[in-house]
Amino acid sequence: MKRKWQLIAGAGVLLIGIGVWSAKDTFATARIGTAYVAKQTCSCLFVAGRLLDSCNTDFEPEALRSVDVVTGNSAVTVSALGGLISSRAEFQNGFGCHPVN
Amino acid sequence: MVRSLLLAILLGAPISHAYADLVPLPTQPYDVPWPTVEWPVGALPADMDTAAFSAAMVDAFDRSAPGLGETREVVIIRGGRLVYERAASGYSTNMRLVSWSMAKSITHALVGIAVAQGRVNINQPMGSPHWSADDRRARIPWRHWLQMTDGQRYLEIEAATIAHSDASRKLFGPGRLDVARYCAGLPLIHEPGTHWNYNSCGIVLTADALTRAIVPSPTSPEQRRATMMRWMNVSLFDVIGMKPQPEFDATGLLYGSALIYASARDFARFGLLYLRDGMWDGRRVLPEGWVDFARTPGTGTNADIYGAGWWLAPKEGDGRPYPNYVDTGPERDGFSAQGFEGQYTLLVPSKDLIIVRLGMTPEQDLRSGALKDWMGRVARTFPPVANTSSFTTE
Repeated sequence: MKRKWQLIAGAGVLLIGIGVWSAKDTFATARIGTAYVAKQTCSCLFVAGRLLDSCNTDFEPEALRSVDVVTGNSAVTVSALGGLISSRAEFQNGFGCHPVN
Repeated sequence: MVRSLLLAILLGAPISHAYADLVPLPTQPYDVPWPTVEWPVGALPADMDTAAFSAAMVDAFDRSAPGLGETREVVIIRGGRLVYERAASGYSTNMRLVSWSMAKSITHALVGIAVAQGRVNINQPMGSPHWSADDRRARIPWRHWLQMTDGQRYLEIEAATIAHSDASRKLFGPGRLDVARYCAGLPLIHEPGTHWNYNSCGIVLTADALTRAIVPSPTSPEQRRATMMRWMNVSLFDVIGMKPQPEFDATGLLYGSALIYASARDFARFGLLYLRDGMWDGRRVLPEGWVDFARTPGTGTNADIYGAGWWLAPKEGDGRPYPNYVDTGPERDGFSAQGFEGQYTLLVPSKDLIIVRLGMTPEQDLRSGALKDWMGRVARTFPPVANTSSFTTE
């Protein structure tokens, strides 16, 4: 009986480990993805002077389906994973855009 | 010989025949004005393969050929004149688009200007404030960073996912607020000067060191980038009539390895500066020999496809470790600035030719090699020119 619980506990620890490892990669990917879309959309709009529909063609359609993009007068905010990860890029005249968080 | 001697002195290298094989760079025809304000316009050469050229443009702009992705701007300069330009619907050849890694070639030019101004010696250690004096990385000279033979561990092209790519991690992941700090953290895994490895971080660190040479005591990120921007404009961009938008991180650092926005016409101006051996309208902008340094391979393994800040044609074969070689003809003299998603500024001295292509080609298509083959196809439709034998630099 004791051995059975040890096996169950071991399996549980393993699953949690796998979950944490997977989540770590998921969060890292979400951070990179949101920052990438925010920064590049910001530059596309405010440096290149393109329209948002045109800027969206710079990304894989699947990538855009998993994020929310909010554009302002001189900034772009992109969030993913239900808002758990959010990235913002700001435009400054004469210097382009860069991530700010 | 004088040229080789000057180059050896400038670069601190032993006098050798390393540059002897280079096809001479063509001089600006006396009757063609420099394009500082406007590009002089000319006709496509009568003796070129017009049918093949037209077919290549249809393939690109109609997106009828697989693997090319979306071509947005093409500008072609021959003999110093604009002989062809075309933009996709919604774009123009004056619209600034992203350089991605073509910025590395511009950083190479900026370092050259700093050399000419006596601010930088590329045989001296480059250093970083993130390294202690006894750190081996602190002793790597500028030359090895520019040639990507620095020996640093940097993973981009073979990365399994974006979460494991140093390219995305430095710009958009853990390094996004201080890119130089992230890059300085990468360890050394090869003896400097013995092995080539594509290293965007090395060019970030180069841009950081260059910025310290120009702005040694910044008072704020805003002052740092403003001073750097002013120096770049005065030293390079205004001189050749280019109006790009370089970008800076939150510390005020010029990214240097990527993220310069410029039009195809402006990338062509930058290309002309290199095709004319660093001369512009009677003025030497880049040091004597700097362009030959750019188009000569570094030392060590895998070093046959990259010079300093520019991609090269290998002496033979398709090059190692990446088949980035653009086959412009039997002279194998093409050299190019290349960027993510298919950005190209290709220079062919024997044809006095510049081809700029800006667009959006997905990574899986780039791996097929279709786009670099297309660049080669276009270049090969142009015949060689006769007047490339002069070393005149005035």
